[in-house]
Amino acid sequence: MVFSSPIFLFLFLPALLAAYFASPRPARNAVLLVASLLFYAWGEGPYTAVMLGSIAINYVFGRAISRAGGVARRRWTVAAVAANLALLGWFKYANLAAETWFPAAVAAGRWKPVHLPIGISFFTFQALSYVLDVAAGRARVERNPLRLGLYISLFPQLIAGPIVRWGEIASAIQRRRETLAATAAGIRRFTIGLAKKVLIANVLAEPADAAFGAASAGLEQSAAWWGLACYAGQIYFDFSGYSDMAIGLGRLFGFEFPENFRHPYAARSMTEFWRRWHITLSTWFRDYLYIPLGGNRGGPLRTARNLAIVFALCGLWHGAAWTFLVWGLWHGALLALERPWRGRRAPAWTAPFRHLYVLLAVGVGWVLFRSAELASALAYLRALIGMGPGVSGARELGLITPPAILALMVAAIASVPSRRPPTMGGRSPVPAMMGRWLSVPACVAVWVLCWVRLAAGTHNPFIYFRF
Amino acid sequence: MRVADAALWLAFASFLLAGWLPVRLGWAPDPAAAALREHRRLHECPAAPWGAGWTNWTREVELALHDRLAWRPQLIAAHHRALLAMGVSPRPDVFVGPDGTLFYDELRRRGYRPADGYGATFAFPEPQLRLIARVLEERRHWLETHGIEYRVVLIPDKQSVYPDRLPPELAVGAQPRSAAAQVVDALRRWTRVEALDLTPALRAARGLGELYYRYDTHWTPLGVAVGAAAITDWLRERWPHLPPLPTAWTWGEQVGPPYLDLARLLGLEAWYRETVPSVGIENWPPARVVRAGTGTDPIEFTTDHADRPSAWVLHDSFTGLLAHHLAPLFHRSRFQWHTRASFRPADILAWRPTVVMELFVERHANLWRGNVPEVAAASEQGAFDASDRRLVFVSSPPVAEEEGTRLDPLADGWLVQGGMQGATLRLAGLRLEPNADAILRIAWDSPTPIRVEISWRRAGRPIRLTASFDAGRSAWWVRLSAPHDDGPYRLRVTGSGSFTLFTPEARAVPRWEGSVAGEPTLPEVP
Repeated sequence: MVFSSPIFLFLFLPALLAAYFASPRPARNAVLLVASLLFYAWGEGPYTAVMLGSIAINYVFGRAISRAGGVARRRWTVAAVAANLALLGWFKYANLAAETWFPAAVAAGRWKPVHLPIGISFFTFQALSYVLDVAAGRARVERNPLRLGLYISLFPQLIAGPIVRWGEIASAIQRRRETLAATAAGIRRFTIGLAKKVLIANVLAEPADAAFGAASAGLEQSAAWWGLACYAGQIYFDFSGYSDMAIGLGRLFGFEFPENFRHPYAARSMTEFWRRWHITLSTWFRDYLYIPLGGNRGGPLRTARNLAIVFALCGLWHGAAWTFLVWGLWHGALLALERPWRGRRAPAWTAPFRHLYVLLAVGVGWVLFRSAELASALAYLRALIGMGPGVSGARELGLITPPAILALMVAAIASVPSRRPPTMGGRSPVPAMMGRWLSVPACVAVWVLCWVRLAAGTHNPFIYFRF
Repeated sequence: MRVADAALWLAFASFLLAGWLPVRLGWAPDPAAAALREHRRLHECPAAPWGAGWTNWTREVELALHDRLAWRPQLIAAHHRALLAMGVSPRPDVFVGPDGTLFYDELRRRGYRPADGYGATFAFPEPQLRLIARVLEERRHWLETHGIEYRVVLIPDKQSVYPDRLPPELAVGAQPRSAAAQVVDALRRWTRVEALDLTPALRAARGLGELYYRYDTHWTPLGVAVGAAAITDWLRERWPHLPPLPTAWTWGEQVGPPYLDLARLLGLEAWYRETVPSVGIENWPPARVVRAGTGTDPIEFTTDHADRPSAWVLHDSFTGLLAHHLAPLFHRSRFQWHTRASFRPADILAWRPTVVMELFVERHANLWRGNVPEVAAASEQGAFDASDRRLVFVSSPPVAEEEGTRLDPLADGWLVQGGMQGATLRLAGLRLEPNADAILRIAWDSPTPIRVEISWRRAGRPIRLTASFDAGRSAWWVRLSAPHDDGPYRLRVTGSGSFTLFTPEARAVPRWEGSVAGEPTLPEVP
């Protein structure tokens, strides 16, 4: 179940809101937990047991770590990390390992593919952060399994983030207050995310899919660039839209989730890009892997090694394929190369060039990220520099359509940070109040447009299968 | 501030409830009628499996909800109209020309690139052409051994007659021959099959008026008349004593295409109307209908001219009106859909025609689905895909045929449901749109034998069809083809039990609910 589906919007969410706000406060966590499990079970069915298993073992490990001291505490922590990584490793990487090391068995059908439970990367990282924070004394252990279960399974951030640390919402799980202003802000944020996903990302997905789909057969250079631009817009607005919806839904239920994106395409270095892109993941890797590895304290070579390790794992975290590994290494290499210039103030006139460098570097990365295999990524990169066979053009593939142009223009504008509107002076509440009132018709317009798009997605007539 | 936030909450709650509650409360139109127009079954919400099959079940529930979204047809129409206003087709298998003319691309359904899909640029791989030629030559040879002639007619797609109306991205500089021309050339080169490509005749007649509908794949009555004249001239080369098709035509206007297939594909059949020339051929005495063509049954004609040949014509949807123009040429003629009844030697021998004529529409010539199963099967297996660069398969998704479930008129149908005990049920004045082409289907679950009778007038002649069924579950369906009918249709059913009356033309049937007992007579439809 995704947030932009009719079943979520018109059935799950209204039913949950009604049940939640009709319930007495002490019962609201239970309502959310049941709803979150149902949300997960809707798509994953029996694999909900994997998530329940993760909740159970991390509850046990958390209690054991908090009770133990010294070496025993360390051993419990290692065991907890190993258990979580084993869970993630088996479900996410067993197929890749089998294809790599036992290709004959896979080809002969002797290997039964392992199902990848959706969101396992997210909830495993959340669970890991819990046990590691408890072990490090940064967070208190949770004795109530329902609360820990709610933390790991909370549906808004369950399948696509943001990755929330236990310390960030532990107090809200225990006690929170849903105010009219906060919940209305949640509705606005959810609506922004819905618009990003349905009205921009989904529109850009069509030309992006067509371009990447035709890459192996040969794309013309202009088609390749257009397809890449569409994909860059699609992935940002899809992912950040989902994070917006998650943050908005969190506010509806009284939670404050961390921000996950801050206009990443406005960055002027790859280092800055990673401070703006998937922030909760990059900070997770920074805090739980990069810094424990030594961070940048061991000299340039050691820093480069640490960056390579972190970004290789970051790439594999995104998917079990060699393209993701190369994507991660590409980003890690760029960050390592930028290290010597870090902290230096660049002349103002270089800003456009630095910005262009980031867009190109990220774009190359997206080719690796989007392509199904390295060969097709190379074919796409060749098309970008005009060295492909150039069989299919943008017009022939129908890539450049008015909706795609419109969506890309909106995406480009929305990718640039906007300055805060000038205040009307002093502490006048007029602009804020006007904004709140204006948000009502704006939100209604977005909902209607999204509803139209969703309904259109269900249209599939059988005119020529009549008889 | 609080009021603004409260207003936002109120609006949000209304939005969340607007998806399905209006349908439940009867405030929004019944989505069943819309699904009928899409010719598929509504997805039903099955019982939860609680185990294996869970994922399929949740998907079915979601699809059932999708089908019941409030104002779904209106929302789809709004979306598609907005895209069309921007010059973008909402579906990959329908192209929009710069002047708004719609074109159908059957190949796109199968994942081919757009430029491969229309007749003007499609290039057959030679193995495919050779297979087509071999199959048709085998037919010709078999018929010849039984003293029957064999002829093939290719009816071009709209895009082959009006390539200038295609979207610019499909315009190619060096335009290869049309698919129809390629097939006819192959038949001439490798076989003794007599073949006629109607493309030149139709292209030459473009100045007369619109030969094809803008929002439908089919030819207009004017296009049919031009095609009939060309076929008649061609047949007269072989049988010179056949009369020429009179050139005196009465001109009129036809409002609304017969079926609006392309508009239906876009969910916009209610929005599109067009006026096209309608021609009547003067001094062309109609052949007598001796067997009404309903369902899979062929339509048969006869004339008093015993010296003329008899013809068995296999055709598809392009042929409805053409049959009435061609039938007077023959002593006996029999027109049968070859998409439902392919080339059947035993039937042909039993009827003993002078000539068997197969009318192929160009877009079917690309795939030969149904009418030449040998070629269709090879195409389905991708036997020809690799031999021509323009047939490169790309991964852009084809129209998802597996989505949903095809509506099977013989097994499913609803719209009007009820029941009765030992009664006679009459439905008279069934109203169809001018030139509509509709299915009327009646299904019974009856403890007693059922008798169904439908009567109407076609070309001034009364027609009555009757059918009797034993007790139990049974179904009967009639194809109503208004271009040939005067109406009104009168339906009379005698028996007991529950029934379902189905038609894709929702406006054609009065809404009927509940049980009917005794001797009910439904009011005339105003």
